[in-house]
Amino acid sequence: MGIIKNTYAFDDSSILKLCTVNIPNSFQIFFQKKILTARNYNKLKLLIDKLTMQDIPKFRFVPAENIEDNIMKVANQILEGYNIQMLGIVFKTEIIDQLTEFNDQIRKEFLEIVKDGDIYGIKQTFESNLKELNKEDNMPQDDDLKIIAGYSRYECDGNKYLITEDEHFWGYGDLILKNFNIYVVKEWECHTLNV
Amino acid sequence: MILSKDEAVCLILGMSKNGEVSSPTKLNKLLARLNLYFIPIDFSFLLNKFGSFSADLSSLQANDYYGITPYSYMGRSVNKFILKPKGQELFTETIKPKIDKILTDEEFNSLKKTIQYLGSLSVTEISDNEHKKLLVDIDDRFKLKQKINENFIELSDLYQQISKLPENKIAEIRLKALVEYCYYLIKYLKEKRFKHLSEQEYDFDAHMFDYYFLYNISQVIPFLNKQISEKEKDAIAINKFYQYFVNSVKEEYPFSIDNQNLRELIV
Repeated sequence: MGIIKNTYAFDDSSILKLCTVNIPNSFQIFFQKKILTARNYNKLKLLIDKLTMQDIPKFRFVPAENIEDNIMKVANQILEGYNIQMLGIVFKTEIIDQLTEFNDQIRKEFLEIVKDGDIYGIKQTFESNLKELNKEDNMPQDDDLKIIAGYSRYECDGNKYLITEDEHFWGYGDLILKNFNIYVVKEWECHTLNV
Repeated sequence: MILSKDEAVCLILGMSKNGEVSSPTKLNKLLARLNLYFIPIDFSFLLNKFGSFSADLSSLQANDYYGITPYSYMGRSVNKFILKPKGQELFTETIKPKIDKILTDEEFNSLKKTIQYLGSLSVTEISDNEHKKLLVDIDDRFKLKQKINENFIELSDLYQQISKLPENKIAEIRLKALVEYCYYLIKYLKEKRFKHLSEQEYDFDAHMFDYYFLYNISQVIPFLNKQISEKEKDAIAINKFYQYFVNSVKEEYPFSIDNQNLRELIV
């Protein structure tokens, strides 16, 4: 009997947060360090290392239509709390460029799960179970629903895990598990997963 | 984005007739010309009386990408550079995709024609052409000063406007970054590099990037003015200009994000 392997899929933002940003020499004075990372970098890295050690593939969702928004979101998160008193927009652009380059390279390391555009039924499930979220919009975006649709139809013998920081997923964690058999893992808790 | 030394040489050879350049001096001039097309290359250029000069070029040796073959020209032995099959592969698979991120096909074809045309000129003709464009000659100092002042005023105006611009797309952020960078760069050129212009004779210690940047800033200002008011930004062109100004120079040029003392030049 073969070993049943679980599936671990990451949303694009979480994948981007694996990037280590090199701070150009002129800006290091504002950070007192040479490298910047997103706040959950260490936790994500720990999970990725565990998967790699056990030769378990990592998955992402395609097509990545919102990658530009995700890159800007992660860049803003990396910069949060810092006061750069010189060429601040240039520095932000340098972070964006490094994230873009990182994305081009790392995506080859992830296997693909195709998003599914047939979201009518899924949308109805969410609409009839709408929750009050901290986010501005309580309803997940169509792209979020396409991820759920694609993942729920993806065939896998073990459990399906979705690692994400997006409240549109973890805010509906119970609903997604019950209806679509996907375990939503909050990004900041992903290092606790036993793989 | 920056082209490495080998990539830059293969770009020139790949665009030249028969994949050849007839001498190291001509290769130097053609590589220098890439600066006027906003292509960042990993060569540093200094000023000499014949125009831009790169010490790095004299150390170039034949490798897998290009060969250096001696031939006799008017009784002298001259080395010519020839693109090898591996260099052609590098051109197609690595260099061209990089170039596609900053130049349209039309711009690339125009650059190719220019390189082929310049390749047919003598080294002195190429230098004269560059000197005139960049206002390097002492006789052009008045025009040079005028240009610095005009560009500084125009960029000060543009810099005042960027705080009002949105940051909803990467192209919008990059456009703001480009204006920010160009404003501090022209300020640096005006207040530091060209401050004592009228007191000096020919400045043999000058960095060619002082001249390239000044010339290129004057070329980019009309584009910036237009882009600020455009709803749909020209992402490729914005990226081209941004990559050129920010990534063409490293620690060897003081106004560089790789210089750990850059802050002192800005504050």
